[in-house]
Amino acid sequence: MLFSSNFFILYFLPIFFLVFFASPAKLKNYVALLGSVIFYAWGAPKFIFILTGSTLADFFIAQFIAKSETRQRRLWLGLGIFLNVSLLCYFKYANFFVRNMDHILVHFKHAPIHWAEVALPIGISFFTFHKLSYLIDVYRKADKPLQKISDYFLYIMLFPQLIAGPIIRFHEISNQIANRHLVKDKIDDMLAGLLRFIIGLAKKVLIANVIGQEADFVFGTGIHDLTTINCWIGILAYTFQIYFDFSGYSDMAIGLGRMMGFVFPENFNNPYISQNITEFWRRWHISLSNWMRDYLYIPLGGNRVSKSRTFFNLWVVFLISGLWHGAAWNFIIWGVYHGTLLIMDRLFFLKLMSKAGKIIRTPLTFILIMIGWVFFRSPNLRYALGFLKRMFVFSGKEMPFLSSHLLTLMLLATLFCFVWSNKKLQSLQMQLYQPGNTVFGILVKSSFAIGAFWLCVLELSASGFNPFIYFRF
Amino acid sequence: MKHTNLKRFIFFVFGIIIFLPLIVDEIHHPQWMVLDGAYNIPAPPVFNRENWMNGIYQKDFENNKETKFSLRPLFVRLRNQLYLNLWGEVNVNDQLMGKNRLLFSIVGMRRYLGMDCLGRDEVKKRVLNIKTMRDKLEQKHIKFVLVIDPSRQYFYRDYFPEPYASTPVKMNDYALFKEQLNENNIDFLDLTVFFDKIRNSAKYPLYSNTGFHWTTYGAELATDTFIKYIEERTHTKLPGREWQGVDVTDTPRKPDDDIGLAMNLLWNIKEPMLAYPNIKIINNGEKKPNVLVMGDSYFNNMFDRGIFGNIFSDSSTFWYYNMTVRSKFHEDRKTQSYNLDTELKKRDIVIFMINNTNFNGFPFDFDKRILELP
Repeated sequence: MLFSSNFFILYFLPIFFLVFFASPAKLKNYVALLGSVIFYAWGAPKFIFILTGSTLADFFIAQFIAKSETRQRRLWLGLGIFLNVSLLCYFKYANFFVRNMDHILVHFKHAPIHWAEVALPIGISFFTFHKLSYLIDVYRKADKPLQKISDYFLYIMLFPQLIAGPIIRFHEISNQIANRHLVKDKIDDMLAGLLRFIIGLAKKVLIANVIGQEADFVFGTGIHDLTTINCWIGILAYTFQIYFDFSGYSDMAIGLGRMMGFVFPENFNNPYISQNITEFWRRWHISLSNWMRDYLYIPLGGNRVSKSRTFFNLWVVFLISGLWHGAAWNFIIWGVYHGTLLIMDRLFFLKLMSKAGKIIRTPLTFILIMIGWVFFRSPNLRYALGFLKRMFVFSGKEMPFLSSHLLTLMLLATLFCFVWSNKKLQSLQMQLYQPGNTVFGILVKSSFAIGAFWLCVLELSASGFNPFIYFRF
Repeated sequence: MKHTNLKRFIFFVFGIIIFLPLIVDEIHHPQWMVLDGAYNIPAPPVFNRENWMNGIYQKDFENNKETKFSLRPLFVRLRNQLYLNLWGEVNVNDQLMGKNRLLFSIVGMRRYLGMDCLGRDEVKKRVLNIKTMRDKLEQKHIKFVLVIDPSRQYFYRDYFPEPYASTPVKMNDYALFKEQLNENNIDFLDLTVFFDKIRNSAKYPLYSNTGFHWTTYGAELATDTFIKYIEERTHTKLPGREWQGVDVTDTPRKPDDDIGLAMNLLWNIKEPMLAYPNIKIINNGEKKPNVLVMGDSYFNNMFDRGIFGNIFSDSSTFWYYNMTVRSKFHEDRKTQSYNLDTELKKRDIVIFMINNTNFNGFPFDFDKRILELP
């Protein structure tokens, strides 16, 4: 069940919130959990048992960690990490591993491995990181383990963040979950959450989905049929699509959480205004960067080791980050590409670019990011390399046709991505997410929100409804 | 917290808005409007263990809810109207809006421009097959007639939308077929030439703004020429047709607004004054030949206006794309259920009727079926 579907918006959401708001405070966690279980079981009925079984195991392992002494604690933590990482590896990477093994075996004239493709449980990358965060935070004594098993299930399964984040580290939310009975429904939270949800929905439905069609068209074209201009338009469209899609989804999750009384961490902070790649990773998918920093980069030694080791650590973190995004070589290369750029930043690039103005640094960083997205969007590595070649060999002069609808959205996307590089406007941005404190402000924002909501519902009602004139032509 | 009551009120309004489709569904289940065009209606979900575990039940349930809620037709029409007014976008498969609000098939424009051309060798092969088929039919004393219909792409080339407006025309299937038909001495009637001739003299539009095919008026003019051609080719006299005036209206009749209907707008696009001829059939005992017409949807207009029965024998049949058989006497049937040999024995003439942007699949293996006959 997608957030950006009429079924979710017009059926699941109203019914869920009707029950949620009607429930007394002490029952709200249970209602939220029940809604989340229905949400996951509806979309992935086969995997609900794997999710609940492994979550149950984690709960008890965390209890053992909390009760045990040093060596045993470490053993229990090791077991917990092994269990979760194994599940992730099996479901997400086994097919990739076997495919690569087959290439090698066939190359050396051996028979390929007989293997039935493993289906991927929805949200496994996200809930695995949540589970690891819980075990590690309990191990580090950053927080006590949750006493109620239902609370732990809620942390893992809370439906707004279950499928696509943001990745909430346990210590960021443990208090909010454990002390829910103290939380009252606040109209400011409810309205702010609703506004945020609608903003996210509009980003996804009205901008990302439409611009994404152009990206799909370009990336669906054979390499030899692409001109340089086409390639740049395609990757620009994808650059906007992925941002408005992903940040829109995060906005929806944050908004739904807020309506339920949870404060989720921000996941995006105008990433395309970054003036270097280091800054980009402080602004893009912030919750993943924080997770990687806390649970991988720092344990590897972080910055407290030699320069070469630090670079190695950075590189490993980004390689894993790439692999986390998808089980394919182009994701690994994307991770390595960003890791390498970060090392270059630390070696000389930041210093070099400090002499250039913002007007050069921001577009240059944006282009570097776009190049990275080529690896991310391409169906395979060979296509990505061919695409990059086309981007820079300057072939074909014909200007491709762009509809006025697409052009308008591309201009709007550009505006929404870059306008916030002005600091005065940046402070305005956060106010957009709040209902406001004046009657005028409240009414204007609400009217816009109602309008945007209807536009999204209209768009969702008609998307996919593209009738033929007759059936048989 | 400031203005708590106002915020509460707004949240309540949002609640009502979000619940609205659910509420309307409960109090008024049949959909408020009907959506036109050809589209699939999802099957109702079937609950069983297997369907649940594979997610089929959930997907079908969601599809049903999303496509059948009462307000959906209104939402779709609102959205389509908005997109048309803002961007000139048409939410119909394969259609783009060109200049003067004329609609064009993307496939049609591509074929006109020669973008998906079959190539000379392929066309040569197909025409040779048609020639062999014609000879075989003539051995069976069945006349063969080939008619090429004009598509709006040829008539309104100057009104194409971008990017097709600025795309140069290359060699296309139509030109290649004509070239090969001439080289192989296969006689044909090209109604494209006829339409070109009457382009400026026709009293009423030959194409509507929102129709896929020629207008009823255009089709009736074409029918006169078509009948004359058949008389010449078969050396027979067919029943006559007398024009007894036309009804002129700006409200298009079926099928002159077929794309317009499928656009599912709140307000239809305005049409010029369209003409609907009143034709009287004059039969002085002329024999009506029994024909088998194989072709595309351009013949539908003639079929619906009663050419079978009026000009040709009642028991003539229309083999639509060589896939379904249309007849005056029964619902559409699959061609596979027919024995072609037996069918041909009843016929005086086999007619191929194809529009000039539809040669891609032509003749839809009908020729091969005949060549396989004893």
